[in-house]
Amino acid sequence: MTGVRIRGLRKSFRSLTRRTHVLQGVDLDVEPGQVVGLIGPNGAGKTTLMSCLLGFLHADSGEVSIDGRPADDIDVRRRIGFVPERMNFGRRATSQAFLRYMARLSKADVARVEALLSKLDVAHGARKRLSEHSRGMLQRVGMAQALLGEPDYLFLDEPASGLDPNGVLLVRDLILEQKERGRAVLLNSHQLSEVEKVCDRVYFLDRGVIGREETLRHDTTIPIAITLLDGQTVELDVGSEEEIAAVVGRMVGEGARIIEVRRRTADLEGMFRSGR
Amino acid sequence: MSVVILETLRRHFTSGAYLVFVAFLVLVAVGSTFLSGQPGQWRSFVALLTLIAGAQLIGPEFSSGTLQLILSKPINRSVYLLSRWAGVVLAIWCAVGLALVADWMALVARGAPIPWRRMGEGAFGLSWSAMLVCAVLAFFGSFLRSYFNVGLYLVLQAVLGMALAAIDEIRPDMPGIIGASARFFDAYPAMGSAIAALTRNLFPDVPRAVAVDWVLLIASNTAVLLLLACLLFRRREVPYGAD
Repeated sequence: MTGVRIRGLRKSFRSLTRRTHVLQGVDLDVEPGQVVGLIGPNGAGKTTLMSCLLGFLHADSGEVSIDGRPADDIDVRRRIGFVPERMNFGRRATSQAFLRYMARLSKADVARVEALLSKLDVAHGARKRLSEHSRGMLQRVGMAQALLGEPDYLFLDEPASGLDPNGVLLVRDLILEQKERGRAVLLNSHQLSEVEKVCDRVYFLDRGVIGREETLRHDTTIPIAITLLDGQTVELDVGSEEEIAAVVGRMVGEGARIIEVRRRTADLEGMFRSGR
Repeated sequence: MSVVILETLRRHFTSGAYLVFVAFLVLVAVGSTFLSGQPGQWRSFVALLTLIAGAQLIGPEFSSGTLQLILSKPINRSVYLLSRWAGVVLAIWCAVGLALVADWMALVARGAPIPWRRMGEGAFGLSWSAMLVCAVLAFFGSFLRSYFNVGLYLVLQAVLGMALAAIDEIRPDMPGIIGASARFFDAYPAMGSAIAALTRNLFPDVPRAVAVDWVLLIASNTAVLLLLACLLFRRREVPYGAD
């Protein structure tokens, strides 16, 4: 697994009167074992980016590859799972029948359907038609269909949309489980708190360009901020929690009056507000 | 391929509209054949069923977002399109088969002789032509959204039919644009031939007695249209949502 690699991706849409440049040279990477967030305002190009990644749209120029192969390669598709923002399917099918169909299309073991229905807490509605499901239930079924083929790459478009708090926690746990298994996850979401909780890295996309890339979790260092009584804040990266205690002890020994020590996280809300 | 064909059949067999239509077809077959002794009175309704079923080949799936979900799976686009076409054609054949059985039962109940050859040829002609109608709809659906494929089909059929009739009727000495059109078609007879050929190939009549030429015409045109549909559908962009 070499991951998802996007370089210089450009995509525009042409109408009779004008051409709209939606993506204007996007670079993005998702490595195995990483959860990467994609955030940005409406109209930023997130869904177009996801569509190019899934081979639904053809890039005007640039490179889109998954494991070094084109995104629309059949073998690549065997290894990806996709959760759309809105799960649309023939509403007459039951969730069980729908998932069995998806399992056969994914060349996955049909026996996994029951296990996933239980895991996603929708087993009680397995024989209900999709039209009878709530939005949250549909999202869970959508998540289940993406996991059927045990994909190495998971592309999630607003997976927690319409979910109750239990559903949100469930999706969060599932994403972290995929990460632990070494899978690469790209999460497109407006729920900044969720992005902060699960993502290792975040790309802020605005008007078709990556305005900012922020690392939320470091493998080797812990970013901390120490606030002093006089209002000053000292930011530094340490190697372990023991080192935090040592640094604080040393500063106190040198006469510093510390009122707060916290882990530094990216200010996603601030990114949004400043439009960067 | 069989997965998609079976799913397409399942969708038809669990669709209230399809079941009601088939029940109506069977009732028409039983009623009209029992009363008149003439089987096959239901055939014009099969043409309607073919249009309704064929309209749903690809376009509505594209517009609802279902297609995008399916194309994220490891399935070749051409295989998917051909499977959908095959599933729809099989569903229509099932309806024709049931209506044929209803015809036979009505004739048996009436005690009338059964014209096996005429009934068989009629049903075969309808079933065979359904392949071409669905192929035309699949071709239009490969680049159009929603139900526009059936809209284009009907418009094209009407326009070509009217054009053919008009070419026969108009004369160069008629006034205005009509006369000018007649002079144009006289000067370029290939245009008239092209319209006639297009009509004959895309919308051929179903003959009462099936001829080998007609069977081959339907088969070859279906194959060409499905090939073109696959070529277009392979390159088609399928965005799944608005930003």
